[in-house]
Amino acid sequence: MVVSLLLGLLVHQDRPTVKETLPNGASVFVHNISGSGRVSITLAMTACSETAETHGVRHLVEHLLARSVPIDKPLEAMGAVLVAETTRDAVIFQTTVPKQQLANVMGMFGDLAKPAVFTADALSREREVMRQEAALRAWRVGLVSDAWGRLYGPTALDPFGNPDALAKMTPESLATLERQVQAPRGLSLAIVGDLDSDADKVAARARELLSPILPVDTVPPAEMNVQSASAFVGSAEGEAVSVAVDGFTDKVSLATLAAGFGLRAWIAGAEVFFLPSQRAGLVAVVLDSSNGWAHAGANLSGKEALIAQTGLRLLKAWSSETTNSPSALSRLMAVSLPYRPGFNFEVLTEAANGLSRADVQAKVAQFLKAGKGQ
Amino acid sequence: MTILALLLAASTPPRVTEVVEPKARTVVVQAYIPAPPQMSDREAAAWSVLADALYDGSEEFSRDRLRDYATQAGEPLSIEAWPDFIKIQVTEPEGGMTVAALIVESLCLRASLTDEAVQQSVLRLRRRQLAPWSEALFDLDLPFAKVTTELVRNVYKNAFVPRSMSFVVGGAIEAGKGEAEIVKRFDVPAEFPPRRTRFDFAARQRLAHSANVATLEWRGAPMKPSDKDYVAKCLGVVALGVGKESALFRVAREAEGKTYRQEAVLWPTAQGWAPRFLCARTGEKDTSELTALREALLRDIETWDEGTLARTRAMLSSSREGWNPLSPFWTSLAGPMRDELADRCSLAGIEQLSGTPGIVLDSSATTLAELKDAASSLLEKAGVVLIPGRG
Repeated sequence: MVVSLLLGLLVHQDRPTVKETLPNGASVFVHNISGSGRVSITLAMTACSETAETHGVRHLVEHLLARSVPIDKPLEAMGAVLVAETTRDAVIFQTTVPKQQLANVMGMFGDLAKPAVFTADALSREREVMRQEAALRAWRVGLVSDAWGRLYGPTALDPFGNPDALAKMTPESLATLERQVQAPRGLSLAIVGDLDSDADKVAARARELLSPILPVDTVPPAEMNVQSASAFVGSAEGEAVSVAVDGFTDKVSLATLAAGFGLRAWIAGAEVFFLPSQRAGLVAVVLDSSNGWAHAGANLSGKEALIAQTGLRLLKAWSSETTNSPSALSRLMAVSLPYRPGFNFEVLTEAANGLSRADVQAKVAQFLKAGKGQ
Repeated sequence: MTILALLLAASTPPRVTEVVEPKARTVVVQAYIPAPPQMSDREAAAWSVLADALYDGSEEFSRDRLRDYATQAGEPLSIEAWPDFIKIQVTEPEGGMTVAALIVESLCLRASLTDEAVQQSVLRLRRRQLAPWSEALFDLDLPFAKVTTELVRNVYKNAFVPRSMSFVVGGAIEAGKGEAEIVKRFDVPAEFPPRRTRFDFAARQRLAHSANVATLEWRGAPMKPSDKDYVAKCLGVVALGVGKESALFRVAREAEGKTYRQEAVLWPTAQGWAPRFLCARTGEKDTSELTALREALLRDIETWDEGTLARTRAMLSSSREGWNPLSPFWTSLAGPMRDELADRCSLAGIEQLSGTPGIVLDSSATTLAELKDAASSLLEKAGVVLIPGRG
């Protein structure tokens, strides 16, 4: 009896992490990082793939869901906010809350995973909001979106969406698509932080929320094939050099990211965009002036090794931050698990630590060469 | 659990604040250099060019060496030009305080500022184009083309003097050691008081956006942590413009439908945090209906209740702690305060610039009436900055 109690205690202490796939296909991840007094929750919806006719539906559903669930008021009463975002992989909802509030907030996130009824008025209003959002988009984001098109061709639809396609949607057509967005096969709830109760209890609550959702048929996303390994895109405002990557935990992708970090440290005004996706991705280094890459190429020639060394250091700090920060880790896991149920976040740090300067240096050279070849 | 201790050094220059966090893996050293008391437009342009050109290095640290030494902890060197101060930040691994302080000292006192570096910075800043929201926040209409290397060097010589500077040393340091390190490097005769900058950045605001987006802003006088009603004003800023339950969101976007993006920002200046309430929408040239929003907001304040006060307290607290992504406290040009050592150092450093570092905000004693008064006063006294879209 005593032995089993002790064993139970040991098991309890040794289980800071729960990772599982539910019978309906939804994923749950719970991980304890003690000390902060706060917990991050991320709900990702990854099942729906878009076509030219439905281009932007995930973004529209993100807007409508965030508005339909009464979540802002209670979150703000505890000092938290709901962050919603649509990427190529997922519709993502995230918040960070004081740990005592976790149970309440999990319930609210469960509501986000349930179908809502959208009226024609709500639809019309959100389309206008998205029109305004488009006008405020930074030119850099547009440039990187163009780069996606260059690297992956016409199937690489921008997650922002197409206003013309959205204009044709009705509440009825949207209801069908909404269920695909929320399909449990691509649904994932990740909870990371200073857990008040043990991970198993939190996971049990997550199971309660996601298990009742019935499976929905969805169309698998179209393959994204690399049309070009790198691309140069320029505009009146600036220039971007982008390099295609497979994902975000393989050696080549991380070496590419490290090269981007290194270049950012060496080129004034440079910004790095890392858009990892489970199917394809890119690392873009955007300069905020025209002719910037020609200039950078001339200035940095022969310094590839130094840039690589800097980039490697920045990458290691980034991977450590990603796996130790509750919000970054919950997001990473929520987006990854529907695609790779066995995904272990520790591979990120291992892969980063396994990189050599030469790996990164080759990627620095690739960026500079692509910048020169404009 | 991070242990944060703020120790204010003696009031004689150089002013140093320590943010001691024994469990941190890094050490951060920051220098804050106020702009000269009066700047012409050319000098204001030179101020931005100067910060950009500082990346080129110093007598001891060539450009390459600087990048190598300043990224040892995996954090890039950061040099930011704010309208009336420059912030230099170096992060080193634990045990690297001396190296970080040496780099800061070298950049502050012996920068290279070569002709080539200055001209490259001029070129870059002349061509730089920001997104509309960033244009409204920090893009000033300045004559970069008229900036010469000589002017930049003169501005550097006049502004980068130890009697004006203040510093923050944070992270894995022993209390008192950070201050000693800075005092050793920036010894200042006590008879020189720190200079105060008077910089009217509203006067240098750009005249139109580069995109078809209009922005409207109400901008108030800087708030000092030493102000009697500082906490009430901070609450007022949050209640008016932070979050979807804020007055700006409910009134400007939801009820009136006049804006898409609306936020309150506490903008760091050498005089304190400047409260700024910004709204944006696609750029119709007629923006008169945006200006009518102030009246609607003032009416909204009358409806605030104890629930408003409770929400506002919680949002202010999370904003100061850095885990509210909508925090109004802009501690770096990259965005609002985050839950990170460098940002906690910046919060202390920015408040030290205006005289009171490391204040702990306790809003529990502020009443609803005080919140409403502070919010109304912020709006009524604020100046209006309207930037039309390119249209």
